[in-house]
Formats: sequence, structure tokens, C-alpha cells
Amino acid sequence: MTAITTAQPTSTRFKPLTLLPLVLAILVFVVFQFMPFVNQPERGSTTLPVLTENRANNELELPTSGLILIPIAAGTLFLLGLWNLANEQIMRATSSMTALVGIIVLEYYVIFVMDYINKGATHLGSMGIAFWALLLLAIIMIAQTVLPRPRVEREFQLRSLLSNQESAIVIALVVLLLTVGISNPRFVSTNNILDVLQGNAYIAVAAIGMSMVIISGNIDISVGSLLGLLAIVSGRLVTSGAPVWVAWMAPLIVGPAIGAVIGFVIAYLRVPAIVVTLGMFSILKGILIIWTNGERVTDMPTEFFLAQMRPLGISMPIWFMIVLTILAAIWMRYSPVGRSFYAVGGNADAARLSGISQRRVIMQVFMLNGFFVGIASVLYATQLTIIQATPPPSLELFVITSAVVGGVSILGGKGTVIGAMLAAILLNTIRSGMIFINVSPFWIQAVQGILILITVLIDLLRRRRQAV
Amino acid sequence: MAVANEVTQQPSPQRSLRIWVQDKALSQVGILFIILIVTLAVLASSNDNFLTSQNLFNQGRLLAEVGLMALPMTFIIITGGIDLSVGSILGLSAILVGYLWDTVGLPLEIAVVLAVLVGCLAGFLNGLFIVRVNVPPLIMTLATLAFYRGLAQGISEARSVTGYPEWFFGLGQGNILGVPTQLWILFIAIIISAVLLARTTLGRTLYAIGNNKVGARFSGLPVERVTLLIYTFSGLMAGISGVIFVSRFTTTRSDMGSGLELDAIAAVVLGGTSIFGGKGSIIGTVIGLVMIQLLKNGLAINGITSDATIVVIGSILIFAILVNNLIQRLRKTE
Amino acid sequence: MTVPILQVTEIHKRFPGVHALRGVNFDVQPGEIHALLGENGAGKSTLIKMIAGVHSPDSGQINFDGKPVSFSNPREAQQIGIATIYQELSLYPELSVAENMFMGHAPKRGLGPIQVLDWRRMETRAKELLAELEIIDMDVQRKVGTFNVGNRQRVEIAKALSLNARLLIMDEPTASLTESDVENLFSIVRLLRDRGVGIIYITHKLVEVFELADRVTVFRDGQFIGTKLVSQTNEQELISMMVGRTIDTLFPKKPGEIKDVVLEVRNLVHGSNTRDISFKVRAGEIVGLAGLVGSGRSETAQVIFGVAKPESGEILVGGKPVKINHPSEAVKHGIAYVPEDRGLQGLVKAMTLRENVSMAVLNAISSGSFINYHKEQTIAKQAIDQFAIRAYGTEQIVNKLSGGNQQKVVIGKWLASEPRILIMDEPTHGVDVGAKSEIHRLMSELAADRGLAILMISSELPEILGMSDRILVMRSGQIVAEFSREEATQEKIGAAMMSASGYGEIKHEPSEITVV
Repeated sequence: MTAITTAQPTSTRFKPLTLLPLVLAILVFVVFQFMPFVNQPERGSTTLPVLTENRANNELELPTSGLILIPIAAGTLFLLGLWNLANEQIMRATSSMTALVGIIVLEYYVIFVMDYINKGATHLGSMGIAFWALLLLAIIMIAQTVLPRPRVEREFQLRSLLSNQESAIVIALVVLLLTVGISNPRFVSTNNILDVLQGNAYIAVAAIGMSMVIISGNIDISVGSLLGLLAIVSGRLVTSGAPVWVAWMAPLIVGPAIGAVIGFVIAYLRVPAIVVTLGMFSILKGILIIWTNGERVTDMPTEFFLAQMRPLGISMPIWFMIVLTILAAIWMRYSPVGRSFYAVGGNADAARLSGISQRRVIMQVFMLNGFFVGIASVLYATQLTIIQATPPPSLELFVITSAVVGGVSILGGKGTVIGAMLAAILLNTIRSGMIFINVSPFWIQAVQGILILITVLIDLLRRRRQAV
Repeated sequence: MAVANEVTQQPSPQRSLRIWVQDKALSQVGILFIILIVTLAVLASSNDNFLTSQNLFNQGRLLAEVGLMALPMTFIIITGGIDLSVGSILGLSAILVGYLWDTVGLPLEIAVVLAVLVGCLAGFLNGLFIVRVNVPPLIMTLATLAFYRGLAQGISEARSVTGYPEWFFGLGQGNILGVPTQLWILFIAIIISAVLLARTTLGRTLYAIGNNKVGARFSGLPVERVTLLIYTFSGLMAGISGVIFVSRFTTTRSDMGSGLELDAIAAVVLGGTSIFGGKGSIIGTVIGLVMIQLLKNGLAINGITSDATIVVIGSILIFAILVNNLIQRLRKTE
Repeated sequence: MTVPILQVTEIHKRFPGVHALRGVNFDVQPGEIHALLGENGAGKSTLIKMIAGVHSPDSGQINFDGKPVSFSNPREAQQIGIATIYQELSLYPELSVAENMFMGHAPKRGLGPIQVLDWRRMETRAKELLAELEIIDMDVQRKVGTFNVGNRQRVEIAKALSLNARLLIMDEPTASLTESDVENLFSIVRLLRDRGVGIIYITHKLVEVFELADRVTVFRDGQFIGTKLVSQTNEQELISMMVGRTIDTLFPKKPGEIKDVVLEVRNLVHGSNTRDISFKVRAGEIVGLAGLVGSGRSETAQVIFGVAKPESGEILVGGKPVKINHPSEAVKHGIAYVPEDRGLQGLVKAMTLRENVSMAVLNAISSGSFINYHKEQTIAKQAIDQFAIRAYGTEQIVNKLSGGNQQKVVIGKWLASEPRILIMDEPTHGVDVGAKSEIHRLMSELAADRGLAILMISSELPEILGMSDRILVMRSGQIVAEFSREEATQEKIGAAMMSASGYGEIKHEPSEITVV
């Protein structure tokens, strides 16, 4: 009888280093709850969460909301670390999330400390390069321990760390903040970062749905028009007297309905996804224009503005973004339906033999996409006091770029929603960064195009090298 | 796999001409042609202004840009590919005309030539990555759709350029022998494309690629070279269209051409070219093009804005493929 | 006699214009390896697909474990315990081994009211199943796409186990395996057999039948010809069942004059399949290139033909070094390649006979770029006459032709280019015996009368011995032996093709094979 042996033994079950994020979380939590300088009255901050905040006061350089964010982040890290432990299985989603939160935490910590030291000025450049190197090393260590095991066990794996898309994005984000921050420190002020996150969280939410679509081997270039249309639906409903919650719920129903139509045409009428969504892009946009006649929607009641609410001091869009991404990531990993997306995208014929109906998956994925676009549209509609009659320009491109850069392979069968969220954050940060270094934001689309190309190239090259 | 003795056969042809007629009459193109005639008749009878040469030539002007881009699009879709970036290349070319003339100060003739060359180059870039790196055409042209549009926007910074000399408008608004200039260009391009596709080795190679790229390559056909060529051709046509566009509109704006890829693809697909590749014709594309323009015209006459017509075009696109699928399925069961 | 795990009675199946299966009777016992033998187009695939639930029979009955069954989709067949492993493995390269094994029937656990995937149990179970196949320490979390073909096939077999398969169907499983993988496969198949699984093993290699099977059933032209105990039959009898006649005049070889070297290859290197290859082919000579699947013969041929670029080494045509970067350049130098994969590499199936035959010479028959339709027609008609292609005319869509006729179209295409060097890769693979004989005669004439230099790649030793003037043997990307026509024997070639320890004595001892 023949036995087949691998070159190295499989990894052991429990790694003590898994505790590191937990330890860090506890540390940070303790520091910020009990250190004396946190209570300085002239800094205008307390240790208790501030439920309402005067954000109109732009002189406030102190990261007051950062103070709230840090314990929250630390707490999240803690919980996730616990979960890691309970699972033994290092779940990719959790790991990346942990890494991200860890980094945000550290970043705020750094800013806060420096701000305190410099008494008002936030100059990143005043810290030594050594500190940044240490910071980066700490990040790598965290990422190394919590990110999923590499294929073959070796010691310290720099290559596998870099070949993980999520960590690459995070590193890129840090580098970006660093470089732009040095030339214009206001870029990394809490206000700005939160602004960027809050104002564009809806894109990340839409990217969740898009990731699923692309993972299943399809594509949707109509999300911009759909989002614009659903936003107007929501706004019109509330201005014509419907209760606010109805206005919020309506896109969550209409979105999946339209998604179902798209899915039907692709799955049952056998029209390729690119063509259907190309057509829908125009159809929905046209409907939007006809219906609104170019008029914007205004005068919504104040209760309508969901996106401007700040539960626990963190603005609603950011909550939605993070919570939805985590939920979606868990769902994709643990639900058979979620895995079937990967199957159909990876090898549709094999999936059929396994009893997974490609048609059903297409219907499901486009309806889910419609759902996420619906949520995103509510966030978008409730952000400002007016809803535009035209869809946000090139939104679909932004969302697709987020997914692709986030590691979702355009060929299907691979990628994570967490990666997409991270990439959305990265792209938005780039866009904001461009303003801060006085580059015309008109170039952002060009940047997106290049990013898609580079990411796809890397993915293709990687696949080619892997092909046995 | 069929056993040698019992194989289904097609009717044995006496001449190629007979199958040609049979094939065409019952095909999507044939049916479309009939619908076209009917539509023309309906529109003519419902509106006195319709059949005037003024109106028809005007319609011709409007469809010239899309028409020019739809020709290489036919080639590309026959090979199983797609080019989503043509609208952006048009915009980029248009912007460059303005930029090179207004900001850089080049003579307008040079600016025009350079703008067209850049269009060529843009298409070449598409082709290069698609051929050398094997990026799927969908992704590549989606990325360049963003990239070229981004370049256009970045260069123009949303400012528009006006004040072109009079002679320049001859291209987009003038006539040669009573027929709009761009229609002459389109006409020549159609003839060349049709001949290339139907009668030359290039055309045969395109059909082969669309049906079995590997087999084509193994037979010694220059698959890579041809693919690169058609995407470059697409860029060239988009570049020329961009110049015509500026000439017609008398200004340049950075969002020019946005969405025209939809029209071009719709015309190609409506004309019977299969989106999956391997089948198609120029004459079909031309008929599709005319049909779409007629529809737009008909809607406009009835007071529907151009913004709203995109709903119709989008629907036509999807519908055309549905019909195509149906016809192919019917053919298979014969 | 126990109840057969599978019993097929009087099955008929028709496709448009084809009577694919005519009154087939067939049964498989539990704990037996039952080989299914027959040329391509004989009906094996159709029968298999019917058992696997892909098609349903027009008439007749299928009984599983004594009870009549009918399937409306492959899933139902899977669920009662029929597992199929096709040649194109159905795996997800980006997903892990465990996921692949359990896709569609993953173990779940309840988390409150919802069912979630139980990853831990999935991976544990995956390891257990692999262990049952004596595979230990395969990393079940590793992406399947990173494994080589042999290992991937093992994952597929383990997948079949995960479905509690009682009947396992394997369709030409050794087609892309290396020698050691084939050994491993045989061990696994025997292991399963000993465990009571019924195995249908489709092959067209007689060697495997005698090596592995308990019984063998022969198909020909959709008809069941007969079932024999392997121990009670021999090669000659099986071949005559497959073919309907005895073969004595299968390889008519014409003697001819062998002249100068036309093709020379020096130190050619391309990846692991072409490692420092050097040989010569002369005008009027047929050089047979023997070797197992995976020894690098097709890859080498394709490098010569320009499909892939060599990393180093030289190719000389007519004594002059040439650079061939693309098949079109190879054609210009007078090289033609009749490929192994006829459907994908040899033909454009949706096109007509005329268009296919002219494909290699389009430029030559065009004035400027314009295709000369008349010349095309002439060439096509010539091919039909010369090779006795059974088709209705030049406008026949080649998709509808039989394997042998399709092969003739491919050969016709390449001969139209008037090559000096003809490389034929498995020229009679999947071709009925009548056409096979014609192709051999053709090759012989081309070499003897027209002075072509022919390089013939083949996996059938009788063909190699019968046709070649000289025989080269490749193994693992290198040429390991050369024999002249006079001195060559099956044993010598076989020995050179395998390892030095020889063929015919497969030792069933534990051996360590590393997973790459």
C-alpha cells in the first residue's frame, strides 16, 4: 500500500501568539480608561462616551471622538480575539478585521500621544522614523499572528503576509496616511478621517454586494443608477408624507426586486451579465431622469436623516459599514449559500454536479446585491439635506474597483467582503488625500482605472504561477 | 459523438449563393431589415418632415460617431471580446483637440491629428494588455473606460473650450456634394469594414478566433496580431469620432461620449452579431445602427427627451440579445 | 452470484441523427473492477452519462442494488451512491481540499435556529476519508489548485468516498497522469474494490484492462459486444471484439529512400517537459516518438511548432537555424503539426470543411488579402477525394463528422500547406480502425513517395513499431533511448518508457511519494 506524505507536518492547533491581540486590546483599554491626562478639563474630554458632539466647532483638533473610538475598538479587538481563541480555526474575516481595528487603534493612539506632546500641533513628521518602523513591525506581528495560516508552515513569513490582499491594503493605507500626513497634517486629523469614513461608508456597503456578485462570476455595472433611483424613491416617499421608517425600508424591497429582474434575465434568459447590467444602467438612469425631471428632493423631515445620527458617538454610516461587513463575512464563510457563490464562480460545471444550481445562485446574488445597494442608497439619501436627481457619477466603477482591489478576483471564485470594505476605505482615503495635496480630484477616476489594472495583473500573474 | 454512418446533414448546396440568400433572409439581419423598412414607412407616413433630405441627413450626422465606433466593435464582438472604453477614448480625443489647440497652442490641424493618434494609442494599449497579458477584454476595457475618462477629466478640469475657427465646423456640420461630411467618412469606413470582414483573410481569422481561438492559433493564423489590430482600429475610430463630435458640438466638454459604448454595442448586437462571438456582419450592424437612430428620431418627434431615450436603447440591447438567443436555439433544433 | 450493484438492461438512446446506444446490457458486481473498452464514439461515454444521471434512456431499465431507478439529474445519482470522476476533474482550484470534497453536502451544525457550516468537522472528516485511501498528511486547508494532477485526482476520489459511493465510475483516469501517479491510482482502485465498491473503469488501453480489471465489456458502434472475465481472454480476442476483424494488415509500411536531415533540434529546453532535447529527422523518414503520457512529447512538438517559446536551444530546418515564435512562422518554414487534441487544437468545429481545410494556407490562396474562394473550393474537394472523407460536401460543418473523418480534415488542412516536416501527435487516437489503416497508409506514402520528414508521436507501441524507421523514447522530458526499426521490440521500448526496473513487475510495496 502506498502512503503519501507531505514535506512538512501540518501546523499545531493552538498558538500562544493568538493571544497577542487580546493582550494589546486589554492594554490599550486600560491605558485610555485610567491614564490621568485623559481627564484634562481644558481638552474638553471625559472618559465617558459623548453622545452628542458639536462637530461644527472645527477648531477642535483633539480627537475627542477618537477617545470614544479607542475603547470601542479595543473592546472589539477583545471580543474578536476571544472568538479566535474559541474557534482555534483562524477565521480570515475576523483576522483581517482585527488587524484593521488594531491599526486604527494604534494610529489614534499615536496621534493622540503626539498631539498631547506637542500641545496642539499634530505633526507626524516630528516623530522619529524609528517609531514608525516599530509601529509597522507591531502591525506586521499582529497581522502575522491573526491572519490565516499560510499554505506551508515556515517560520516568519513575510512573503505570505504580503501575498494576503487584506494586509496589503492595510499597509497601503498606513503608508498613504503617513506620506500625505507628513505634507499636510490636517489630512490625518480625526475630523478628516471620520469625515472620509462617514461620507463614503455607503460605497463600502455597496461594495459588499458587488463582491458577492463578482465572486459568483458575474458583474453589475448598473449599481450607480440603481442607487440614485432608490435614493430618490426614499426621499420622495418621505416628502409625500409616508412615515420615515417606510422611506427607509422601501429601497430594501425595491432594490432586491430589481435585482431579481436582473438575475432572471441573466439566469433564465441567458443574456450575459455585462450586457444586462449595461442596459439596466441606462434604463434605470433614464427612469430616474424621467421621473424626477431633473428636480432634486429637499425638505425631508429631520428624523429622516439616518446617516447623520451618531449612536455611541460614532456616526451611523460607519456602524453600518463595519457591522454589515462583519455579518456578511461571517455569512459568506459559514452559510452554505455563501459558499455556493464561491463554487459557482470557481467552477460552474463542478458546482452543478454538486447540486448547486447556477441559476439559483445568480438570482440570490443579484437580489442580495440589490439589498445592499438599497441600504447604501438610504445612507446616501439621508446624508445631506438634498438628494440629487442624478446618480453619483461613476459609482459603479468605484464599487467595482473596491471589490477588485480588495482581492475579489474578477474571474470569480475568490475574495472576501472584508477586503472590499478595506479597499473602499483605501480608495476614499486616496480621493481625500488628493485634495489635501492639491491634486485635482478629477484624476481620481484615472487612478481607479490604474488600480484595477494593477490588481488584475497581479491576480492573473499569481494564477498563472499557480497553475500546475 | 456521431457514428460515421448516421450523421445529420445540412441540405447539400448547389451554389454558395443559394445558401447565402436562404441564410440571410431567415436570419436576424433579414428580419431586422424588414422591420426597418416597415419602421421607415410608418415614420414617413406619420410625419411629413420625416422623409425630407434635411431630416435624413441630420439623422445621419447624429449617428455617424456611433456608427464609426460600431464598425470595429463588430469585429471585436465577433472575436468574442468587447470594448467598453470607446466612449472614453472619444472623450479623451475630444478633450485633447481642445487642450492641444487652446492650452498648448498647436495649430488646429496638428492638434486634430495628434488627438486621433492618441485614440489609436489608447486602443493599442487595450489590445496590448489583452493580447500579451491575457487580461479579459471586459476587465481591461472597463479599467480603461475609467482611466481614459479620468485622463480626459484631469486634463480638462471640467473647463470647456470654445472659439474654434470656421473651417473646423465643416467636418461636423458641413456638407460635401450636399451630403454631410461625416456621412462620407462613415460610408467609406463601412465599405472597407464590410469587405475586410467578408472577403479577406483578416475577416476569416476573426470568425475563427470567435469560434475557437486555440484552434485558430494552432492553424497558424496570426491571432495575436489580429486582436491587437482590431482594438487599435477601435481606438482609431473612436479618435476620429471624437474630432467629429467636437466639430459638431463646437465645444469640448470632458464628459463627451460618455455612454456611447452602449449605443455602439446595441447597434452591433441588434444587427445579429452574437455577443458570444463567432457570428456577425457589417451590414447587420449598419441596419442595427439605422434602426436605433430611427427609433431615437421617432421618439424625439413625439417629444421625448434624449435623456429618456437611453431607457429605450438599454432595453433594445437586452431585447436584441434575447431575440438572438432565441433564434440560435431555434436553429440548433432544426 | 450476488445482486449486482448496477444492472443495465436493453438501454436505447438516440440523439438527433445518431443511435448512440442500441440495446445495451451490462452489469457491475459489488467489489469488482469492471473495465469498459471501446473506441471513441462506441457509446461508452453515453452509457456512463446515463448511469451518472446526465441523460435518461429512451427505453430500457437501470437497476441499482436490485431496485429500478431513474434519475432526472446527476445529483440524484450521487445521492443513491453513484460517483463519477470525469477526465476534466470537477474541482474548485481556489477552494481548499476539504471544501472541494464537501461542496454541496457539507456537515453543518445548528447555531440557534440557523444551520452553519461546521468547518472543523469538515476538515476532520476530510482527513479521515483521505486516510481511508492511505493518504496521510495532505493539508486539507490548502487550495486544490496548488496540487498537481495526481493529487487532485485523489481529492476527487476522496470526494466520491464522502458521498458514500457504492459505484464509482472513472472515465479514462490515467490520461494525464505520470507513471508514479498511475501506480498510486491502481492501488487506490484496488483498495476500493476490496472494500466492496463496484468500479466501472473506462479505458481504451488494453494494458490497463489486464493490469487492473476483473471483467471487461467491449462496446462497438453503440452495441454491447460482450463481457469477458479478464482471466479468460487475451489481447487478440479483445481487439477483434472491438474491431470486428482480426488485425494482420493494420500497418502497411512502404519502404523508401531516406535522404538528408530536414529537421534538427539541438539542446531544446522548455520548462520541465522539454529538457535538453536533441534529435534529427530526415526526409523520407518516419521517426516514432514513444513515451508515457506526461513524458513531454507533445510539449516538445509544440515548442518546435512555435506554440511555446523555447528557453534555450536551437531548431534547424534544412540545416539553417530558425527562430520560431508563433505557429505562423513554423508554417512558413514548412512545418506542420497535426495536434493531439483534435477538437480544440485541430479544428474550428463550427466552421465548414472548406474553411477548416484552407485555414493553414489562407495567405497562400489569397491575392493581397482577398481570399480566393475558387481555390479554396478546389483544395477542399481535393482533400475530400484524396482522403476519402465521408462528408456531404465542402460546406459540411465539421462538428457533425465522425472522429476519423475529422482527423482526415485536419490532415488535409496540413497537407495543403505542402510541408517538408510533418509532426503527427497521436494521429489515430479516437479513430475507427478503417480510418486508422488509411492514415497509416497515407503516412507511409508521404514519407516514401513525397519525401516528407515525419515525426510521429504515439502511445500505441504496435503503431510505433509498425510505422517507424527509427524510434526515440522520451521519459520525463528527456530522450532516454533510440532504437532502429530492426532492433526495436515492445519490451525494449516499454522498458525505456518506464523506469529502469522494467515493465510487468509492479511491486506492491510501500513507497514514499512526496506531495508536490
